[in-house]
Amino acid sequence: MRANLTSHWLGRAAVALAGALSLGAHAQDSDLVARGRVVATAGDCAACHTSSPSRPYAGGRAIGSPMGNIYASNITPSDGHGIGGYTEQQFADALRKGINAKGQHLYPAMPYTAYAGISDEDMHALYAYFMQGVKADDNAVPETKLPFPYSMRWTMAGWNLLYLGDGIHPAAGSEDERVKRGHYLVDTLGHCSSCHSPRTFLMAEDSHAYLAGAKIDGWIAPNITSDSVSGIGAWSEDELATYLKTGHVKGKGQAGGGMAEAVEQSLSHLSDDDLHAMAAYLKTVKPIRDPNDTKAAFEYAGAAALPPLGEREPVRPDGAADPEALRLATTTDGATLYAGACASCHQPDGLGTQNQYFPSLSHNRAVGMSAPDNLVMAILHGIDRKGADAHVAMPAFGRDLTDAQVAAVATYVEQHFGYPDVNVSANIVADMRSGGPKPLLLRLTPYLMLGGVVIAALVLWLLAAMIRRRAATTARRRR
Amino acid sequence: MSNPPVTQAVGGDALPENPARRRVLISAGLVAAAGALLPWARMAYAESPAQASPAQLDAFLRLGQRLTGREHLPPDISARLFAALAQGDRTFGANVSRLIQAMDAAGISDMHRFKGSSVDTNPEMKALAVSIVSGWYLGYTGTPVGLAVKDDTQFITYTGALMFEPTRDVTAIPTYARAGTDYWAAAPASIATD
Amino acid sequence: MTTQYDADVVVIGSGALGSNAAYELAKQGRSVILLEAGSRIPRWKILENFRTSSRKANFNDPYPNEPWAHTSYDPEYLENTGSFNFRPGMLKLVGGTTWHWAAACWRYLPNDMKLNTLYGVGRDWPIEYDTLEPYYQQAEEALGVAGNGEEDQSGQGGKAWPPRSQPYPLPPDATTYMNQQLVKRLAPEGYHYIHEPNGRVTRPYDGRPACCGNNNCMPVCPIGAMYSGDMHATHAENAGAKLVTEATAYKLEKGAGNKIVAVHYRKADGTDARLTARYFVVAAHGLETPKLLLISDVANSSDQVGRNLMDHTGIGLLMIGDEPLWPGRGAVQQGGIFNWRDGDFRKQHSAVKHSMSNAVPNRTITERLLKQGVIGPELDERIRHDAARWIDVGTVFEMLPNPSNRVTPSTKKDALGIPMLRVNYDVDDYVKAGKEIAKKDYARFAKIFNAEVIEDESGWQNRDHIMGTVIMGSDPKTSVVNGDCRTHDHENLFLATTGVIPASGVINPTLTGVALSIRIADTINKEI
Repeated sequence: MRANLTSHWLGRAAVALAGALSLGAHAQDSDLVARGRVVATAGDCAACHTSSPSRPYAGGRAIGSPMGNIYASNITPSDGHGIGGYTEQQFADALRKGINAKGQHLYPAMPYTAYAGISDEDMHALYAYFMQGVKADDNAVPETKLPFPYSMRWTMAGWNLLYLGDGIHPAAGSEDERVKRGHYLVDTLGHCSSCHSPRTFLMAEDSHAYLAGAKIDGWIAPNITSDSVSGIGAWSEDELATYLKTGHVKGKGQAGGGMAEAVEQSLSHLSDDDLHAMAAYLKTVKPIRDPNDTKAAFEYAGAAALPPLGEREPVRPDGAADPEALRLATTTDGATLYAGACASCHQPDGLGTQNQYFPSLSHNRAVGMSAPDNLVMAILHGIDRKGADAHVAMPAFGRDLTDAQVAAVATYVEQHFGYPDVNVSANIVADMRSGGPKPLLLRLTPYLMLGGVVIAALVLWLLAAMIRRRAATTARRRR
Repeated sequence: MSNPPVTQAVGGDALPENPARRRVLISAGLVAAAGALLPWARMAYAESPAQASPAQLDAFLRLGQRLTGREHLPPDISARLFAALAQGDRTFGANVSRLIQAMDAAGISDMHRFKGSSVDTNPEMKALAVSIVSGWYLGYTGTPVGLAVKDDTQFITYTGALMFEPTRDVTAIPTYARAGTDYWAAAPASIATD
Repeated sequence: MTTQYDADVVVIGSGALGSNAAYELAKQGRSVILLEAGSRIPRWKILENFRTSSRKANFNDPYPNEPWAHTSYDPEYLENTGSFNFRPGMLKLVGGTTWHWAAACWRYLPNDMKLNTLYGVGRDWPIEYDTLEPYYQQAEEALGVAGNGEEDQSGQGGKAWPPRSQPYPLPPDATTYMNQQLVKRLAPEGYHYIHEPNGRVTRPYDGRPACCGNNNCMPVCPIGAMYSGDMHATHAENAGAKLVTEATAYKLEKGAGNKIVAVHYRKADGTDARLTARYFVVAAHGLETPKLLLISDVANSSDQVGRNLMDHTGIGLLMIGDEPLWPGRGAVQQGGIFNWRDGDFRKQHSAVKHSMSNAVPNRTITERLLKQGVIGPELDERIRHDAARWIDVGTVFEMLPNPSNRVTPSTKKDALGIPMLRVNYDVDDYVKAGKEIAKKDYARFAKIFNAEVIEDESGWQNRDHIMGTVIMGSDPKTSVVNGDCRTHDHENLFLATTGVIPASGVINPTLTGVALSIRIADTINKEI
């Protein structure tokens, strides 16, 4: 069902023409397509638009927004189901303005507010890549149906009026070429602030808290401003570049959740120059300090001493006499749970293996943060991350541990290896299981809608009252 | 519940001057001595390692450190080992004391001097030394029986079992990771001198 | 005529075989009830049980031996009347006995399945290797098998064998330093040392982390890199199967048309329940499956149920070699010597497989030294010296089916009032002849490694591979199930167990069992 048939057919003609031209200029287009591939990797289109690795960019992946599932579209050059009919202008409009070829507004799960900053050269290369470098796949993607009032896409026009800019946060000072490149990669292609900046009430990025950290799907995308306590100021440029490339740095931390995906699909494939440029830029970002932070998260190493060996290796009831004791797995003793579930990899002393293939839990940002979210998420859902150096995995323990048990073992880990004053309750864990707390807007939506109805009724009543008064006045004037 | 061992009933403080009290104490001592021979008293002795005095446990810990050549061993594991070895053996505490005395007398401050010493050649003392070393090295006491559901073994420790220490640089204690996938393809770092 | 059933299929036993069958059925939309006599126990708890065990060589010890769900080392539960103390490791909990195995995932050779035709002994399989091949592939994908597809796994030094339609799902684990050295010493002597395909994932797969050499496959993988049946019990549940634990089946009820109409089971608290279904799959391993049939008086017109019990009864060799090999780095085993896996000699004596253990040997070594009274600094030195050079060979023979080697219900009853097990097992002459060959190899090994032999007369050892007790064949008079694992007597009763295997070969039968179970699900899916 295509609303805009003219542009569709024009688009197809244009593609055919471009294809014909490309036959004559093959070598040139190969370079262009190659450049487009780099741009697509840096922009991490695959993160949303690739659902199954054997069908790249064929869409169908459900992006779980707090408002409901948003299905990423098929962006292969398929005519029937993808963007095969898109002109370059339509392609650019989708990326920069968030409007698809049917004229519909896209939800800002598509980070067009960031892609608005894509340069013309990169856009041209990207288009070439998707039209010529990606295999057409006729995957039919389910329609996105968000509940009312979010189903009204046209409301995005108003939202865009308020929040769609040029896709680049203003620079903190003057930038040399390298930092500028890093800035472009971070803001525009990498769209890092779409996770790392908190959102306002209307779910736009809060430009006053640029890169100061935000909660996403239960995880915390941490503060990556240049603040030396709350942000990455104490990381060297090398460490930052290494983190982006491999997903982990000894004594600092490791990537899980969405960042693990970003490393795997995008960052680990970028050149070292680009990664260092991004790192250099991040070190210039205006520092934002959380007043509650007294030292950097990676500096924490717990406060409680390990329980004595006898306590960690108790004499259990003899199974011959008491098989129940071997069967019941209901303990909420943190030391016992840590020993059984965590110590095999992270070691009884929490310091990980010597080569840190299994990382230390001390001097580990995820464990040293004042909020336990990332630790709890890692325990519940595990980690699967392929960085440039290795493909590592931590299993998910959500099935084998109850909320109370996760809370107990997380508390044990925090107290002995991380931020000792953190409190992990079973309620917090229950929240994390379901993907984190819902944003205020969503929680208030029912009331807002009610309020909206009330306001609409008031407006109508006012209008009616005004009309009646006018009529009365006119009637009086006539007499 | 626990009657003091016979030796303590008459040892310790000097006998009081008052003859009546002396009589009471001596007869109390005789009663205690008689009691020690009665079956239920024997059971009480078997229990008594649980009541081993702090001094006894401390001495046992230091003995363990001496016998294994380790500067520091975990005291709570040491107490556990004492209790396990003493179970069903009311002479254990006393035998431990005798072993300590024998080793002191033979000047075995260091196990390099053990071989061929008077303690080494005394079957009873040697067996006791081996049983203590065994508990520390293997992490259990008793004799495991294969393919059975019970035996007389008792758990002492796992990661504290000293048998793993001589090879810690090369192999891990089973169940614990040592490095990442495929680390085992490389020869151990020490291979040239192993 | 619409009959209401409790489920399309009831699967009895949630081990690797039962759970894979349940998953394949549930995946296709069938309603499945999966019964399990034991409980669901999380991995961290089993690991805790192991670490605090005082008898670490006892692989059943971390698992509860419940009065209503016994594990096999309990002599009250499994009594022996033969000359050999047949006592396989066998567990009762969600996931079954693959909680403690070493994940060896070999396929049978085409010749293994034609033992009688080729070598005149034992029985043939009623199906061909080619029939089973696609199911082997599916089983390997289910278990996450990592293997080297280049070698001649028949041990003859020829081309890649047996034939495969696809490569192994995962690349092989890196060869340990020890194995590299063993190959260097053994190959010039004509020994073919083959890399063992195994169910330990070599990269993150199916939610499992890659193996990193925690070296504890037996009795429990601490991290779940090694496959265990609970993984498919979970998959089956996620696909819609209903898992009922602490539920021991004690009677299969026959009905019209000689079909099985219901299964009766008893909960741990003693209450009974009856479930009806279109199909029944018994997957209770090789001893409990025939026992259930016998106490229900079903599927035994051949009088073969419980008979023809086979294990890969073996012997072992312990010696201290002349160069540091350092067993204990990586998983507990990685390969073996296959020269005697197949050949004309099988007319005279059993096939032989030697497997070199890669387990951390410190406990065995230290026990031995302490028995010799070694203490002091010499103890540490000798532990290190011996541990580096320890060579532990586990040899495996192929048994022939013998009707007097059998399992029957015992007169003893468990806490639920259900009869327990009685086994009669004697090692046959075919194996004894094979032992002579193995001993010759042992002498050669000792020479090759200039070794100090610690033990080469171990006596017969259990190998935990239970086969033959509900034997597969084309003739209903002499076999219990046909080539589809369907009982000859009851068209809606299938047996998913290594107990169907009619020719034991010399390799671990679990992968074959899983392949057969997936095939059972396929068969049932086509018929419902």
